Amino acid sequence: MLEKILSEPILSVLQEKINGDKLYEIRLRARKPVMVNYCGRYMYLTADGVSDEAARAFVPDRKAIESVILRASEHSLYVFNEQIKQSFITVMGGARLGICGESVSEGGAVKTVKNFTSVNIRIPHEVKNCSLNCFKYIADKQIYNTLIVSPPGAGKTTWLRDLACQLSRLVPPPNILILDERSEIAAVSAGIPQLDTGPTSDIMTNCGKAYGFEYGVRSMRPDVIITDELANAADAEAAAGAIAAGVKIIASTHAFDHLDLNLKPAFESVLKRRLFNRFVVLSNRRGPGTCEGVYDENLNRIF
Amino acid sequence: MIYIKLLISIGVFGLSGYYGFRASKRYAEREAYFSELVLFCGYLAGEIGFVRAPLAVIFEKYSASFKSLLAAQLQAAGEIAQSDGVLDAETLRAVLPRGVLKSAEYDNAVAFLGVLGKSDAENQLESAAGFKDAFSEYHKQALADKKKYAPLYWKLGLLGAGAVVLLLF
Repeated sequence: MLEKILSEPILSVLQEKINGDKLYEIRLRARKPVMVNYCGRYMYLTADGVSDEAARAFVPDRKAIESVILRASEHSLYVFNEQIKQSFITVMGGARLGICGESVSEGGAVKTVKNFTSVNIRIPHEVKNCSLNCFKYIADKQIYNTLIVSPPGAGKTTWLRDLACQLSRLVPPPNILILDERSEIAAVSAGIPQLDTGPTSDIMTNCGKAYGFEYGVRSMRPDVIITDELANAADAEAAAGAIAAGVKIIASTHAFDHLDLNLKPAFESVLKRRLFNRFVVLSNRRGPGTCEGVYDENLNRIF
Repeated sequence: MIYIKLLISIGVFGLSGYYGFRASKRYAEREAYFSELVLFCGYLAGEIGFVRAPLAVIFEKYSASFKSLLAAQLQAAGEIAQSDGVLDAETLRAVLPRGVLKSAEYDNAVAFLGVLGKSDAENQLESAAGFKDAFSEYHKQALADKKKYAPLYWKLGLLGAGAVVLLLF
């Protein structure tokens, strides 16, 4: 996967001197030292491996950043322009590139991005069975409407992905619709999911939540919808609409814990109406995906 | 002696005719190249605007279906698109065969292929439309040259052969 995006000498250092299982991010910034998230810590990438010394790190120029993005897009930016407008590209193998550059707007909307200056290559790691310890609280006699609450980078997307696989193993298995707005859960590239989401999942990518909830329910008749990052009132209302249609929802949101949800105006109505029956709180305390607790619709702890 | 002269005459006609044919064929190749290049610009409207196929796929598809120098150029460009190289004008200039193209024509072809894939679909199609106009002009000129010079070189080849044979006899 990385050999399609990166060139020498960075590629050979990553292949020969770094344990790929512990590499989570590679951050390239024009005329700044290359950094990696290795074993959960940000360090500089040098010819000898990782280091805390910036002076010895690789320093790419702007052309190198552009080269990474062109290679990630198979030299065809127009194919990935819908993703580029949202500042990301998902490549074969599931790596997701966050990109920074100069936005080109027309009529108030971003048309494309050019003059790329930074790229953040996020390496996905499938962690099988990471949701198993909480699974019985989410799906025993029935599947509960569940909200995964965690701060950024605490593993909720990995957790959601594994949850889809666990749900697929139920007998009878439910039809699962995954609304993968930013192609993070299944990492679909060129129509092919790069990461496992179980055999009974259908995936809609690159579409807004409101569209996905409405048309996905009508067209795919799912039993469960899994989606990442309910960010605002519109997302929350779209989820409420699907719940009202009889579909179970498993979603995630950014917050420190379940009590923080009260501070988010977008969730005021959702919490009042008790739309979600379960809240799973994740953190980085013992590594990404640490389950801090499972709460019921009254925010009472049950695990 | 007469037989030797006959043999030499046949050889001279053959050789002269061959060189005349080669010289005239260059005009036909140039015209065919621009004819296919204009077609290719038109096909891009569907490939980039609708299908959104990656460049490597487009290059492979049309290098197989075109017959002129353009097929070889698209194949060379496709190999870069599939490799670790960067598909820019500098890299293309090093690998694209120039064949029968004039210097300015070759520069424009390299610039056109170098621009592909570098922006969103709308921008790509605008660029392709601009280049298509230029290539259409080249095509008109190449067609006029072919009609004027191709038969001329044939005739020159045969006339030259006739003159040598007359001298021999």
